[in-house]
Amino acid sequence: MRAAVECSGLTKAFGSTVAIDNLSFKLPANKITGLIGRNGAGKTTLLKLIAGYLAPTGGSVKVFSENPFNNVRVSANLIFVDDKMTMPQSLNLGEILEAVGGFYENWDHRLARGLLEYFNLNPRQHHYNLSKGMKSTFNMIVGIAARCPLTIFDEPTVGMDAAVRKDFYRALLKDFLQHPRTVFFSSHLLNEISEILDDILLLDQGRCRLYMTKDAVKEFAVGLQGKEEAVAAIAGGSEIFYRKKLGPENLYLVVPNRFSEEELLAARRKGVEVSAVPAEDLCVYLTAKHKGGIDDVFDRN
Amino acid sequence: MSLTETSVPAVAWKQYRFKTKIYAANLITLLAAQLLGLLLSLRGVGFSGYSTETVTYQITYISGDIIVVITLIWAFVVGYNLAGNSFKQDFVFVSNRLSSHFSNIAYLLTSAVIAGVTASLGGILLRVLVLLAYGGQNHFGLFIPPLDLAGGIFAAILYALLVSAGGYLFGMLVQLSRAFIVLVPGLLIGALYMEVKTTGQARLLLDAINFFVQESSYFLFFVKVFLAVVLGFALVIFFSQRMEVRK
Repeated sequence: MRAAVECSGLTKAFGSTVAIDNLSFKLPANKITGLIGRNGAGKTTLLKLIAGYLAPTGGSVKVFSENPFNNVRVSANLIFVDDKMTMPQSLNLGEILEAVGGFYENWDHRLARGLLEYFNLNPRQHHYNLSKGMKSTFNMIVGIAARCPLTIFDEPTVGMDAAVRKDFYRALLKDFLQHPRTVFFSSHLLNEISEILDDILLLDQGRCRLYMTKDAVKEFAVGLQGKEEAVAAIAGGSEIFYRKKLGPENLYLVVPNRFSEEELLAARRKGVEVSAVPAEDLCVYLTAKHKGGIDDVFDRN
Repeated sequence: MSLTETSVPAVAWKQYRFKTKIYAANLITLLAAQLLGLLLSLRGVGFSGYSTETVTYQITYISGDIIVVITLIWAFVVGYNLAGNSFKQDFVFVSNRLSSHFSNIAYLLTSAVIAGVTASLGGILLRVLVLLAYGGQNHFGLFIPPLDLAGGIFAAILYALLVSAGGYLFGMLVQLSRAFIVLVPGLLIGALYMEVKTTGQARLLLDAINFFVQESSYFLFFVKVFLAVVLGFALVIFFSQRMEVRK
């Protein structure tokens, strides 16, 4: 399949801070990919590079096989939604939708007006008068109704309450199914969005830590819990993603899932509990600097 | 989803129409400013008088210059603000640097035409008001031959364009680096100061202004303004090619 976005050796530095570090990946077309990472992992920088807002320091980024920087053709096929979208102050929400619609060939005005009404946004209100969550909601409506072949959401749910977030995910998914497009979606709330995702790209300090389908992420690691010696014996010398002492004798380890059915069965017989690791937890473990989490800081003292 | 094909002129045209909508308030500011200029002009710009035991007379000079000056200040501010907002606003939707500049140039041109026409008509309104206010028999100089009026409007438009392009250039420099906000006025005033200190007069500035102001041929005036404006926009387009958006 043709890639919608292709990065190779992509690097972006701000002074001495390297935000994106030699990143290479291909984003397949017509899938919803989640961009996950801790604060400061480089998510927004990566998305801005793809949107052509920033110019790479090294390497290249291609969107629909073209360099997005200063490219009107890429811009016409892409929308970047976040909570800092500048909306004209002189127009009210209804007028903004009218005006913005003129820019996008696939713009669905009925959908935009319908969503506006559903989310209780008064078309005569002004954008600068909206609350944080309502601003995000309005920007999201613009993002969905624009129906751009590449739709980028950078933390789009800032300030939205749980009910609105749920509706938003559902609206995005419904419209996506009718009009498939490439969606690149950064969020902290992996648990919430994982239902609509196809793939997950985990970014850590500007590098790609993990990039695979959502289902593969679920199988990627396994949690082992039981008596310390038994757990350690099963884990053997394999890489440890996360380690937590549970009381004086018990241990919980998260390790790569490279075990056969028999090995897991044998482990259970020795009293070791084998459990799946939720994707969100796994992402936290993979990007943690301390294998024991925040507890490490306290245990040292 | 199939890709949309587009071109810079097509996008620039959409952006231009978008800008005429979202910056409509600029026109209200213009009219308010010109009205203020009109009111200030009514008081007159200069007086002289003479009186003896039997006769006292006073001459009040009234001119529309204040309206023009205020209009030019407006044009500068519009150009400056446009430079400050346009990348932030344009790149939220479809844009590249060139289309953004083209739509801005078209917008400034439109603004200059409106400003030039209204400023000239404001001058006429002033004459009428003065006539109504002071009365008089000899309406000497009230009538402006159509060709002179057209020439005046033409010149006013070019001045407005020149000044707004200057504001745009300055605004874009400031976008490039905040330092220019101090640097440009600092250098200008510094150079003037040095010149005045050494030679006793500010020839550089006067020459620059006279280069435009003292041109008696409409055609040559047009060519001078055209070249200056093209040079300004070319500079802006050139140095903003690698400028990043929303850092």
